[in-house]
Amino acid sequence: MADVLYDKESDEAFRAYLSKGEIRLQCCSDCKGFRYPPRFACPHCLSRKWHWEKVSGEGVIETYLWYCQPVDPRFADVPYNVAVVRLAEGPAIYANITDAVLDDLKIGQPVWANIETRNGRPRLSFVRENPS
Amino acid sequence: MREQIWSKHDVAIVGVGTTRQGAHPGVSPYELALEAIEAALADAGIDDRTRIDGMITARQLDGSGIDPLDVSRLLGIAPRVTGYLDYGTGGFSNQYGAMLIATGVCDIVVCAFARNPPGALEAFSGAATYDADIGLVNAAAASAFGWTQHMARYGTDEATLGRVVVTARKFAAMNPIAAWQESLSLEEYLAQPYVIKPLRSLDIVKVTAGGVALIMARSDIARDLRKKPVYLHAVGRQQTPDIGEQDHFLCRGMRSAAAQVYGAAGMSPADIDVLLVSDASTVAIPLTLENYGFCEEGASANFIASGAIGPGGALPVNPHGGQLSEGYLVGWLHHAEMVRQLRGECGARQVPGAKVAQYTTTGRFREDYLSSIYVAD
Ligand SMILES: [Zn+2]
Repeated sequence: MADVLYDKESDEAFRAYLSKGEIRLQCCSDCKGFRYPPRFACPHCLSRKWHWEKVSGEGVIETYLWYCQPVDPRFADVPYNVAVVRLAEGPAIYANITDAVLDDLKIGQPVWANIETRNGRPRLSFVRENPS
Repeated sequence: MREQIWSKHDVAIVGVGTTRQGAHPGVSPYELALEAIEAALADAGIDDRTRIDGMITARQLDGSGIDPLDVSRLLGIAPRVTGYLDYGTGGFSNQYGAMLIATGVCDIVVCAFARNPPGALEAFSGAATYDADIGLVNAAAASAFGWTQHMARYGTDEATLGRVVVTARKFAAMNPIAAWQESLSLEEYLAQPYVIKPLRSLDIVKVTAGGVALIMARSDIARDLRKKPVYLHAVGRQQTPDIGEQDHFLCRGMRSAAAQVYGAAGMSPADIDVLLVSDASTVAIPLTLENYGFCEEGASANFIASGAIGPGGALPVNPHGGQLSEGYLVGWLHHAEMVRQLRGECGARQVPGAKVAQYTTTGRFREDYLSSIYVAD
């Protein structure tokens, strides 16, 4: 992600909703398109008008990988996975599937959003078991 | 079809130089650059280096690389133009040089790259953080995402990647400057543990030190120099958006670069004698074979298993051993190899009768694509 696009204020707002138990994505107030990660302009119509819209939290695994050896000392707790999750609302998001053990993931598998706290910060992950 | 502004014989590559690749403890990248440039000047038969009026170099995301002004000072010359690209991998930097020649801004351009980052021969290249919250790190993750998807969709396997490494080592054994020349079996590959599953250590390039230089010239100048020129016929490029697009990691942007480069060159995959793929990971090779049309979608595993990409095969790929075996100068060494192959200078690893060579690369997290076609005189 180019730093110039990274919208820190919106990212914090995204996390503030997470800490209230809500998953909301930026939604363009003009063309109604969703976007993620947070940006100040709509990539579809360039509108600067947007609002936070609740999303279903449902997604599908588009692809995934497993870190089996630490390639970066900051992330030495292996194995862990990262998946590309395609949300029902359209955007794709990188996330950990936290209830999977090695070789437990499949492309096309449905996953559900899960809000957890790590290092004192709320963050979005996904699980394979429908929590509801 | 887009017309390319320069015609097929406007831009000639007239000289190449390379250092040994691997570890060079305590050697400055400028020493490596100077060694490569001197070799390229001698190769071209350019005695008067003040004739150089363009100097293009590159830096990488990790800060490694060389500055064009400093290199010019080192050579004691004052070119008309100096420039460098951030993240200047081989194809992009050489296109920059070619544009200076094709537009008449410069007559003779040196394109040079050298680096000596820490961890040579040991550390994985591609250190970058894409998402610190979830531990999405290292550029090889893009390849792992892509191959997971490829295996699921087409029923391919990890042995395909293993065969790519085994092939690269076969070629590297015939390349005296290669960092990894020892042979490797598929069994040895498969016995290795995963690093970023489905990738093993051998699938991911390691950092190496070395230098490389190419000299480009206008064709009328090229004809008076020592070696037969090699021509840069055409370049195709495509940028793609981030993961918002479907199948981002299957590198569909390659298809657009392919249409452009083949269209501008008036060629098709059948015309290519030798293919040079910027192999930051093994996955680049099967995805290139499919997306550029060397085989059908999903058929790269059989193509590779048939031996087609190896020594004596129908489409030798990376006869210098590629970055996986020769050394990782971000696609630059592939260009030196194309020139040498098209001149017939490669000894045991020479692709017989090679007249047309193609280079392909991807950049960043599968966001840039480039391909160029080089043709013998
Ligand atoms: Zn919009």
